[in-house]
Amino acid sequence: MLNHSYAVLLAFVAVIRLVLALLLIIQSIRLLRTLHRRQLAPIPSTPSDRYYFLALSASLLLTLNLTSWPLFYALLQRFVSEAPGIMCIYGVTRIGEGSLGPTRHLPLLIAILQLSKPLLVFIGGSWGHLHILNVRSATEPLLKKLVYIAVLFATAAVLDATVELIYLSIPKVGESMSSGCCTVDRGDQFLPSGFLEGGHEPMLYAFFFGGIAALIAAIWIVTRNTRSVPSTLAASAVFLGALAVTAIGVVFLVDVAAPRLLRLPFHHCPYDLPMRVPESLVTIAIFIAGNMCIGWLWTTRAFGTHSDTMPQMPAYLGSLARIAIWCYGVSTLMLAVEMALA
Amino acid sequence: MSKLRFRSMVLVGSVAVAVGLPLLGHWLRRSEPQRCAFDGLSIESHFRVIVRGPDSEHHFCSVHCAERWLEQPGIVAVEIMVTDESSGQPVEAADAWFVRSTVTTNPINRNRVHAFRRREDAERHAHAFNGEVLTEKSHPFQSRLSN
Repeated sequence: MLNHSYAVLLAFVAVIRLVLALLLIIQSIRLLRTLHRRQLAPIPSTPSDRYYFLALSASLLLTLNLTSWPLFYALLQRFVSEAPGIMCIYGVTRIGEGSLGPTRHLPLLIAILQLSKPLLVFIGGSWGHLHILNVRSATEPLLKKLVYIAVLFATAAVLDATVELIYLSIPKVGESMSSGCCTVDRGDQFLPSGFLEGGHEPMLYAFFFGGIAALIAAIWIVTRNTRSVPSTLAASAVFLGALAVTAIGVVFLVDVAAPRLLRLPFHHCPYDLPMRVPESLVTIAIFIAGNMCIGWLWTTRAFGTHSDTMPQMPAYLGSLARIAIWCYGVSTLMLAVEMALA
Repeated sequence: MSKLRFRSMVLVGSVAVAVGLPLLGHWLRRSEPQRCAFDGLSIESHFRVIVRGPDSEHHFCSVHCAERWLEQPGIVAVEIMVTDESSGQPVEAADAWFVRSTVTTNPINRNRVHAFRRREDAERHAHAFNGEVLTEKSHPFQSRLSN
């Protein structure tokens, strides 16, 4: 329920996002109709005039979505101190399991929000990069695509804000807690388990650090020529590689990094890291930023192709690639130092 | 500023941050109180359990956590020390009296097992808090101590 400041703030942001996203959908539909009419017969008003208002709304929505992501985790962290028998956010994600009331939906709602937050930033960022490329070109050739992506972005934001408001409206205190990370029922403590059985650590080390090195090399190879645009196939391959390394990274984080950094060999809980090893949050954030850059590189290449945008494309994709390489390099070095010190 | 110089500065700055931030975090945490080796909770001195292995020593916040730790495969315990709740003094688990009562030692793992050096203290606690003194069969570390 809205019983403290973070919940009120998050609900406020969610309502603004919801209204803004609905407004964005209406603006997009109107602009699409204008664009369609213009194709049938030329009309005096230019669609790009309307587009700039839409772009302003989308930019604001992107900023609010980005803000709501850490706010959401700040709220979950706040619940840790309020709910009895819970030690970290993992315990909060398990509130409601096994209950019969509306509280039983809480774990699913949290799971949806944990996925939708980064996805929203990714879609919004994709729109933002295409928008920049479009503005830099003389004829604004990506206008129609941008409006379609804005509709997708706004629809995702509506769903996310709605789920968030539902989550906030369901009471969490006073319901029985299921066993979670240091949440206990019947005196039987449960700890989050790793993905793999013991004995796979050397393999995970090799896969994770080797994967990062291969990914950095692949990004460099694909974007090293500053005069030509990498093929969509190459950009897609790099993006798939980044997703694969991220999947390995999640397993590595839970199975190897978290127990080592926390100095708790049987404690496979990454949610504890920001509290106990705060600098690991910076490491994870930089790694996610690298992934986002590779994702945006792919969407920009795949959806931004036009004869008018091609002159700017190599330099633009090169910048994204360099930022991604920096993010992967710095986050991996930080992780290696943190693990060496632990 | 030339492009090369700018890139060199970015590189040096990045390495400095990537190495410096973990070092700073490590340095700031050097004086943190010891935490339970099993679930990471802070350890209250009256409930501390120490498990000594052949070449290691682990501290736990409760009997419950020490039991769970010892359940893990490959763990060898040479000595198990519990804390007498009456005096706060360490006592060998083999010589201690254990009580399971309604009192939890912490709200997170809800450990209900309490350790005492003297039988009278254990019985007094059991009587006061609706508990039972654990017999040899239900002794928390029975399997380890009999080895």
